[in-house]
Amino acid sequence: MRDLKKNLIYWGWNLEKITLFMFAWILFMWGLLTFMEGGSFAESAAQELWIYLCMAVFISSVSNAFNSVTHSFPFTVSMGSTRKASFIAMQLIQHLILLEYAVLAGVICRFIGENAFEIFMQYLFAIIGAVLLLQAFVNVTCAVCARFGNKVAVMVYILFAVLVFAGAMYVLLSGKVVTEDLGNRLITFVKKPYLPIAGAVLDVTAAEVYYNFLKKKDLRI
Amino acid sequence: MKSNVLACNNLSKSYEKKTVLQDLNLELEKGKIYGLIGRNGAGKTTLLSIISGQNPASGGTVTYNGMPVWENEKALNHICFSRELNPVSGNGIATLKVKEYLKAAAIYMQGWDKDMADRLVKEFELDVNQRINKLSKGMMSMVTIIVALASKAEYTLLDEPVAGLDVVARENFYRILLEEFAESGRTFVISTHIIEEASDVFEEVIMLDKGRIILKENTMDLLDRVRHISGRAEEVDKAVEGHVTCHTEKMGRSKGVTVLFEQGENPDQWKHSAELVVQPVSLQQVFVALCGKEAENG
Repeated sequence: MRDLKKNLIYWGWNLEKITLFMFAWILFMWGLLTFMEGGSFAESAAQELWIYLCMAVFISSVSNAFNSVTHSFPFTVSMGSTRKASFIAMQLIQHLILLEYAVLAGVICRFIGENAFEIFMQYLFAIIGAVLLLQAFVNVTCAVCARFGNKVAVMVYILFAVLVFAGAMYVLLSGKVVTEDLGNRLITFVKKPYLPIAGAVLDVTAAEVYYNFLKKKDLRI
Repeated sequence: MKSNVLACNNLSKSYEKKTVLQDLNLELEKGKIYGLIGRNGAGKTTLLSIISGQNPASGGTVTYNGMPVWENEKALNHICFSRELNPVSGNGIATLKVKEYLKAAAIYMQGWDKDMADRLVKEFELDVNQRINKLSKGMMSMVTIIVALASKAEYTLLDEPVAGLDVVARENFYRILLEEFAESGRTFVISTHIIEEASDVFEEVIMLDKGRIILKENTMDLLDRVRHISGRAEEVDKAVEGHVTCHTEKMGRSKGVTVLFEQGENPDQWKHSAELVVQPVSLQQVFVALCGKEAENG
């Protein structure tokens, strides 16, 4: 228990530092671009801030996870931690950071106006589900990294990015794919708690696989 | 079961097809300074990382007071392995600032002595705001020494702590180490290549060669029973017959050989021809004799 506490302090300090830097970066980029475009900050917040936020969530999840598997996890073990306690603390803090992003998104919506906040609350399950699915994906790639090395994990990321991009292009270019009916059904689906449940199951399973690769790995410290 | 003992039982370690440690048995008793010496690639760092529970063994166990060390918080709290740092250490550890490295050590090490760490930082004149990869090799060694000493761990393992240190800094390190040892009675295991000047500090010496412990003995007792004998080849051969010899050097008709007398046997009372030269040897010479290759010239 004491080991877990030490790890929570270390991982909290280590990852929150990166997250705070990311928050600052989002605000700086958004502020700078809005200022250069000469637009209203309130309007820009409503239209563009969420894009930066999504980017920050993805970038910080990926960078935190890679940083953890290649650097911070071996370091904590070299400092005398058990692998199990370090891994649990790492997962808890990574999830806490995602939760912080979700809260930040809620605060931004509140700042934009009542309507935006209402929409945010309506899609809360979808947001939580997306975040858990992202974390599951991150855990899978970290497991790949732990088992096969950084290069293979980077290739998985690239493959993922290409698939997402190709999917998005396909949807955009063939307007028939998303019919109004399908869109409505999709909206109804994401408002229900199926996505968070599926996300949680996948996340826990991926974390288990990840730990199995990590627990007997020879660490290069 | 002995109390306060860190023990390796039939320890082995392989990386794919390469065997690094073979069926190794070792007991480290409390309140001693051990010197771990071996050639490059002998398995010293691997052994220390397994003893400290940082990497898994392929076979065998490591126990502290009878408890397994692997993934055991209670045992790990008593062990600190301060690793050698280099500019590319651990995929990024080297990018930490000294103060961040020490902060992490303070979080993890149960008995962390902040006052001691601060005092040593001042004594070594370290800039805590510097990143580790910007430090000189000697200064990196100072960081590992600070972590090891301030950890106050019952078993403290240091990997090449004096690498890159100048002679003044090395003397400083040995002085501080002995002061700490006298005060706390902690156990230190120090791996080093600078054998000669450290031999006075080591109470016991452990020699590792090709993944096996070839010798573990009190340093003074070892030096008392090893002699270098030289003279005409035939006379040397005749004199050392029946004794354990190693590292033979031949130069024309002369020969030199290092002899390991039996434990308890006094080499000074050994009867030999007056033409033979019998000399005591240093720890470094013993090491070369046991782990080096035979030398032949002429």
